[in-house]
Amino acid sequence: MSNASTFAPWLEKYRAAAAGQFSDAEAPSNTDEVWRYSRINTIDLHRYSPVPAGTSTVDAMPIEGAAATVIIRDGHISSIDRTDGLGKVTISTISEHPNGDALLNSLRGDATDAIAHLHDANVGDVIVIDVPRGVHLPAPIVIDTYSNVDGGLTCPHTIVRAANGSSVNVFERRRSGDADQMVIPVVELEAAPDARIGYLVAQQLGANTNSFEHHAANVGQQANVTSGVAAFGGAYARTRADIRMIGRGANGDLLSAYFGDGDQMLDFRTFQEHDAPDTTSRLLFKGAVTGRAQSVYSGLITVSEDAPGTNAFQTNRNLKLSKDAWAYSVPNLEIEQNDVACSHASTVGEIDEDQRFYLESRGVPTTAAEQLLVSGFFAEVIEMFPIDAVKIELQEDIDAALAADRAAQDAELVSGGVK
Amino acid sequence: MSELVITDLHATVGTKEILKGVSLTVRSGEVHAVMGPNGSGKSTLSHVITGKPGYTVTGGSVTLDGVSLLELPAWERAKAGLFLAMQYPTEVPGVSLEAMLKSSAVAAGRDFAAVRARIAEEAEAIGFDPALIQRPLNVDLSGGEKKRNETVQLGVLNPKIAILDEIDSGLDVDAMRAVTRRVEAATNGEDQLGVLAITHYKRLFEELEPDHVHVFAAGIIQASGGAELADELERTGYGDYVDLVEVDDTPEAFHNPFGETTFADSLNLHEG
Repeated sequence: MSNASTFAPWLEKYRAAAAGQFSDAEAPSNTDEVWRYSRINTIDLHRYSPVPAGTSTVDAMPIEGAAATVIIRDGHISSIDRTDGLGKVTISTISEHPNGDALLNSLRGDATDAIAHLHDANVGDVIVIDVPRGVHLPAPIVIDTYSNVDGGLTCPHTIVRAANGSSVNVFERRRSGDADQMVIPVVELEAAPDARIGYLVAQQLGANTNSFEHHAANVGQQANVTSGVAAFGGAYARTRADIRMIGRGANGDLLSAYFGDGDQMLDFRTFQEHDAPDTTSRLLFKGAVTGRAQSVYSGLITVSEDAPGTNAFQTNRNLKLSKDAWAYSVPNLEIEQNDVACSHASTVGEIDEDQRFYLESRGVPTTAAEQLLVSGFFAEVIEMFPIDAVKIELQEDIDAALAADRAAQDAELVSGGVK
Repeated sequence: MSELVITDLHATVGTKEILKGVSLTVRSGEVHAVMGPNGSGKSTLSHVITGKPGYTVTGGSVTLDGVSLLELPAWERAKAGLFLAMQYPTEVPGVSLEAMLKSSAVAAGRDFAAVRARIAEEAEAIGFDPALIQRPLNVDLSGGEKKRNETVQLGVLNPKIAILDEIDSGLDVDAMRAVTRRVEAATNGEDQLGVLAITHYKRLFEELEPDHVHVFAAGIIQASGGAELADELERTGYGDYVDLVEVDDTPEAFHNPFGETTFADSLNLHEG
């Protein structure tokens, strides 16, 4: 691979302009409502800078039956492996794309804070997936990103466009090593009328990576988007997800399974926007925190006056698995229409003592009983994820994280007893 | 030959004493019925023996084949051979019967393939829908299905001593017969299951004949006898014991003026 990627002239200009805006921008602060409860005040955005291609290497984790696999290392495309199964679906970089400059950030919108400017100043190998009219691709397209450089910054960016009546599934794996680094991903999903997009990201970042991820989806008439986040890694890892129902009968689902341990903070901000009649959105976020981990969920449903017949649901459930863990949940509604059915629910609770006793009374050891209950808690949402090939892996990630946490707690108890 | 020995067991919930000195021995192959009015502490007895959280044992002991159970976590009591069929089996979303029994088998060092075959056999024998084996435990199950589920587990886990807490509640006649016949079969033959059946009504005994009947009220066993005691209770109700229940809330000094032993002796039914 070459050390410097070559970008289209418009993109070079775009990056330079954003770099200027970033240096002028004020750092975000916890006093801003959108950053409340976050750790933004502890992160120095200027400490991180882009990394030359070829610095970090790691094997990709193959997904069986993938239609294509894109490998991105340190923010640079390392390879794109297209199978015959990809058919008429195209995968290109934004510099190659005929409408690249119009597409970039068309759904996310113009940058409104320093982090978005930082992304735009360093955005490079944006992946654009175009699914032509009427084409169905059930086998997933896989994007595998990784980096491991102290002070490194990567800004992955994925755009999925499903034309009328088409369907596609995209899976992204985001990993990083143990180095202190930052990743600012953006994902834009555009479903034209009658199209269907299934999207899932597995956030398996290293323990010293700070992450600011932004998803934006537009769902057209009678179209469906299911967008999922499995968030397990990172130091401070934030995901903002916006889904907009812009065509009559649009359906948008946001899903998440998250598990926080150690000192990490997982932070989610969601926006379900209904701007067309007879639209539906369902949100189910389920998470667990243990150790001294923290989670934040803040969600807003907005129903405009143009959206009669809206059905919108928002559910956030949290399991607190240790006394020092902390989960914060704030659901919100903003409705300018009378003809709607909306509900929101949020809970923060511990493992149910009666359920644990039931399992124990049949000879299941305490730790195994907790693992069964935690797995069972997550099974509901993992089952709804649109990428079948990774469901077992994600469930195993949770089992392994819980087992490691319980082993650590037992070790603490033992050492506490020795004192 | 196994033996569950409960000796002078006292337990509280919060500051309230619920068990006030229960003594009872259940041996392999024996069926003991504990009968008593609502609110007498019958279910508490089953919970304390099996280690359900929320109770404090303030005195006495419970041993299974000489091993003291009260210090053990609930799962080790189960591993030692104790089983509880619950009055209201807990719904456990996301965990199937098979997943639970697999985990239990692993802990017990049993081969899961054999356990899986046993689950199918037990389900068949008792009329438990095999589709439910993979479904979340007790979620959306009818009363009859829940009790059949408990009985399947009893059959698979093959305990030494089973405590059946109101296993007859919420059962139609067919389910009742299926469940009690299965338990009765386990008390015979090789298994020689010992049973402590807690119940309110005598109808449980149509298929599961008790060797010993104990009247439980106000936190202690008030009287013990053979199957004929259940007949007598069916005729007279718990009226004779209800005063004792009502005494429960009065100051300690007025509690049971006859003394527990004296009362039981007066009926000439006291065990031993």
